[in-house]
Amino acid sequence: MQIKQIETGRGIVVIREAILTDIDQFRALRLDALKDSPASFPGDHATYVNRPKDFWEGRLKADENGTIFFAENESQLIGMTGIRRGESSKIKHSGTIWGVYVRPEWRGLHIAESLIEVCTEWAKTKGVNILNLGVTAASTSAVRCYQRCGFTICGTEPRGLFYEGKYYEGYFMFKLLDDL
Amino acid sequence: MKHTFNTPHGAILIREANAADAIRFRELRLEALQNSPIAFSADYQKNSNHPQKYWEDLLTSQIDESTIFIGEHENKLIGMTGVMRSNSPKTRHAVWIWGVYVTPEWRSLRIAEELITSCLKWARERHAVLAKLGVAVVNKQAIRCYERCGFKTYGTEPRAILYNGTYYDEYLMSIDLDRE
Repeated sequence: MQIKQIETGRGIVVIREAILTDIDQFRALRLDALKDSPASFPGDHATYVNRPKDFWEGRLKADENGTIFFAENESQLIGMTGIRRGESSKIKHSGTIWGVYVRPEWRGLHIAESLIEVCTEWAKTKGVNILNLGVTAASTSAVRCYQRCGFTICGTEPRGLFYEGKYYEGYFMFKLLDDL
Repeated sequence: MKHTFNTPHGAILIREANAADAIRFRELRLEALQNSPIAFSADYQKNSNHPQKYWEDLLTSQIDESTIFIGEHENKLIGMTGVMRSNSPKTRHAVWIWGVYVTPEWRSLRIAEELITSCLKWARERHAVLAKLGVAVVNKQAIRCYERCGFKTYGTEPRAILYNGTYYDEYLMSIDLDRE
């Protein structure tokens, strides 16, 4: 189901929720993300390459607690963002944004912002009233994107991530979804 | 890994839990969720419906992935603390401390510190360099305990817990395990 269409300098980008038939492209997109931006995601490329089909299908299956939105151009997935909220009654009001990625050639067009925006709308319809996310502090363009989306830094995690012998500091960010 | 800890109320055995503790452990954990609902994101109702196997699996030590330390006095479990680590090579350097609880009549005897210290030792033996936890901002006694253990606050998560219509913020705390 198409949620949104944006016209960019490079063509029309459709934002829509994931469906099961996205599996092959989703897997390729996610593996590229882990390969291109290893310091941005806790997930490990070598581990994900070996994950079975069930794993990817499980990720694509939306339910009351989570889903994934894709950005697509001419039937090619060019970006994604996942959202998952807490399952226990005490944390159901809180959602986590994960796996934000846009292919390098499609950056600078505010596609990630659109993806986060539809995740935010999805969260609101489920009664979620706060979103959080973790981001590598050194990814300044990602941090700026989240700030444009209304996220605020509420924690700085020392040594949030370790990759190739180096530690990366992480920011923990949140955004309230209360109606103003 | 086990040792005895002497308190004015009697000797406490601090040791790793195992599947044989399942029945007594379940009672302790449910007591924690019922007595201190703001301290834990897990839900009492949901946990009270878990089958016996859930508790046995939880207590089956996964060597390098997670364990639970318990405090025991005359065959009665009086406190617990869990420690777990991620399996991704990018986040394996950190462990997460969870479920810290001491039954009310055994408090103020530094039993929680003893349990946490055992978890940190377990983590150091597995070359973890960082331990993290979340604690409700209103839970002053727990915060002081973590500070005595060496934890420092690195962030504040707004609305981390919703209970009976009230939101509770949590401090995010961490301790370096490789810098004494």
